[in-house]
Amino acid sequence: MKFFYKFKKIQKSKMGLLKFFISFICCFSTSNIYALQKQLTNKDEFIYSPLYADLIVKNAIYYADNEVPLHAVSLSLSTLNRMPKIYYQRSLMVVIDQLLKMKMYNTAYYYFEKLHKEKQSLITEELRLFFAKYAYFQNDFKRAKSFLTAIDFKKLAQNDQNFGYYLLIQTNLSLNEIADASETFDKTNDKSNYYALSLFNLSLKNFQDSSENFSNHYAEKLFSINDTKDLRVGYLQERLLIAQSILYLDKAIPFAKEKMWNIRQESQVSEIGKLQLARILIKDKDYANAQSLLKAISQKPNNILIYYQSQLLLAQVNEKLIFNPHAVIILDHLKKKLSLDIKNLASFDGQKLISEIKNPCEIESNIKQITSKMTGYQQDKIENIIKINCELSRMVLFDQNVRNRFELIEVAAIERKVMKDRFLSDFSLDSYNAKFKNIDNNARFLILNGKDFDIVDVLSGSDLKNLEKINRNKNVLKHLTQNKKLTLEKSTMNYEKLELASGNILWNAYQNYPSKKWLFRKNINQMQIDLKKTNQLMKQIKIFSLDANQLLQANSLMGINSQIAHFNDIGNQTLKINNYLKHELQRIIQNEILTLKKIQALADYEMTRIIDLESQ
Amino acid sequence: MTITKKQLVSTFNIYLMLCFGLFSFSIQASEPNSVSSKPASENVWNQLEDNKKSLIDLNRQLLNIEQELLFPASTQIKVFVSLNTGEFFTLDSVEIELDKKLVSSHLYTVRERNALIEGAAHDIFIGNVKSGNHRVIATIIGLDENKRNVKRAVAIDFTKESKPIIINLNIKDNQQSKNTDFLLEKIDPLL
Repeated sequence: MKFFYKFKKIQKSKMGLLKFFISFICCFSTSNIYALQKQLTNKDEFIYSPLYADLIVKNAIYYADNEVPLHAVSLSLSTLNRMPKIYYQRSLMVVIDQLLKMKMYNTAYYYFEKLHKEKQSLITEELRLFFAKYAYFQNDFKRAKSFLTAIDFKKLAQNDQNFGYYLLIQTNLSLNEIADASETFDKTNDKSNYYALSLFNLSLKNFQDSSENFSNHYAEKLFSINDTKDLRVGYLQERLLIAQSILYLDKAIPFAKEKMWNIRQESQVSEIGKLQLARILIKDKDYANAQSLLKAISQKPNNILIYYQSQLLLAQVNEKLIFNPHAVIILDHLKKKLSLDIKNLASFDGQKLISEIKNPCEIESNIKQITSKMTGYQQDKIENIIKINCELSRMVLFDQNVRNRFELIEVAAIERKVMKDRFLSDFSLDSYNAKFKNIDNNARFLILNGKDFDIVDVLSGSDLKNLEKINRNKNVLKHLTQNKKLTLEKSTMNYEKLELASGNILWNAYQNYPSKKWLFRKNINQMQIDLKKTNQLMKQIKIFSLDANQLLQANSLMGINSQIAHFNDIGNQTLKINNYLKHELQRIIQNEILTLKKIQALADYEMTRIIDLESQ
Repeated sequence: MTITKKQLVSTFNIYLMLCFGLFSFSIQASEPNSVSSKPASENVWNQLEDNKKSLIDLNRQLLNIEQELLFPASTQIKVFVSLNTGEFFTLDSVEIELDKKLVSSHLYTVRERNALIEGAAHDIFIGNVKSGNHRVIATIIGLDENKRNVKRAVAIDFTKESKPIIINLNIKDNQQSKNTDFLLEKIDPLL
């Protein structure tokens, strides 16, 4: 009763309100404060009017639009429980949108699910798709399916629609609900990569489940999408894989043959695919078609190994067609060509060819010029060599730019010495003041610009001591020190860039074109020259820095030393790479020769066999 | 008004308790935590998100407490600005006077203006008024369609009772008169 008496009394004044809160809060323990907070914030007993709720949602949007997501979310969440239903959802949408902006995917997901459970039309299809994708990548397939099945696909843009169906098929496959996956697939009507991918995955899944008839149905569909322009060659290869699988099962050769025969008309079918078709045809004893196909492959081979394989198959086909003399001629020709190629490969002198090229980057004309006398395999090699040469020449240009910069430093160092001498000889307070003023301005300019170093060179060594003695402006010294550091940092940065660029190009070149060690060596030699020059320049900079009244002191010098050590390390690393390349190249050439020799042996065997058959 | 030592101590106690209370709120109020059942140490990103979540919770609670303590329903007045224009009028700034006293003014940036044009609403003023009769005057400054300066003032009288007072300054194009209407509307906050 005392409390209520007190309560009535303190209400009479403003301070009474404060006292009320003291008593009120003190009455609760910390755990009760939570209850109080709940009482304050979750007053579910009243609901906002639609007009006010609308204003609150719009207010949250205002903060969202003005990039204050935290406030927008807080505002929406703090009013959520008092919102009428439709505004509750809108408010939640603002929350989700802002949480996504704040990259709080888990929390956004939580609220989205909350909203999704109510199956409200307010959720956009795109958002459903987004969270379905999120759930899918969280391996939460059931939720992903639940989100996806709620999507009205017709409302999505075409590409999103295709992706959505693909995701649904994938989700169903992941849940092992193949019938649902098939049903979804039948709904799709697109001819995009997603379609092919879905189809491929369905076929594969069916293959795994050994439901052959079912899989053939999809395999047939897969074969039937020849006309799709969007498809990449990869999918055709996948189709070939299916054909191989069918062939492996040895149950559907005519089917595979028919389909493969149709797709061979496509220009983008790889030669490997055509070769595979030829094998299928031979297996199906359709020698006439196999012969014409193999002849077509032999006429314009892009890959020498395919050429050899096609020739061997052709010899087999000819033998089957009782054209033994033809087979022998082919094999004889093949043997000669193989010997020539092995010889060519062993004595291949790319350096000589490159030296004849004036502009290394004119790849097309160079290829035409050089490869007019060559075929297939060598053309590939030459093209690669020209490409790598072009890259290296670009790198050399880059090197050149960096070298030019350091030559500038050298020039500046000489000028500095000259100017310093002149400066000391001309020294007088007036002239010094004039120069100083000028330098001061320039120093400021330099601080702003952070660009050049000539001015630093003008004022150095004893000049700076004089400056200190005169004590005209210690700031200049600071500025100059700063500027000197900037200059040195820039120089080291340039070298880092050079190192990075060289390293990258070298590594790319090595990755892509492992067979041309001399080019790398040339490049490495160039780098070593550069590094030596760097070392010299760095030493000069070091001397220069010492001379400049120890402006840089120990820290900067340590930096230079570590840079020099760093460049030495690079030099050692490049030497290691060089050795590695050398061995790698030898290994690759030996492997290539070995492969060709194997083919040669096979050709020998074939020829002997055919001649034996003839003699019998 | 002089504040006694006792009152000062009491006020300090309030803040102490509030701070302590807030701390306990932030620990206890964690509704979305059920989503991330994994231990926080498992993933830095999860930890980061948890921290962000705590921050939002804290901010939300602060907002609530601020509303309840500083602007209790019995005295609260809120003024919003919303826009449905763009053709005949470009909003520049708004000033709000309550009982002939300037209580708020805002100069709109392009971004803020665009947000308003796209349907957002700005809470330009929140304050307290005693029960009884009051008057709010909104002065709107901007450019008309011919880029001439326009300054208009609109007023609304209201009686403050126990419910909060919500006023919306609605600036909207009037296609019939080819002009802009400036309206101050009182909105009932509760159903």
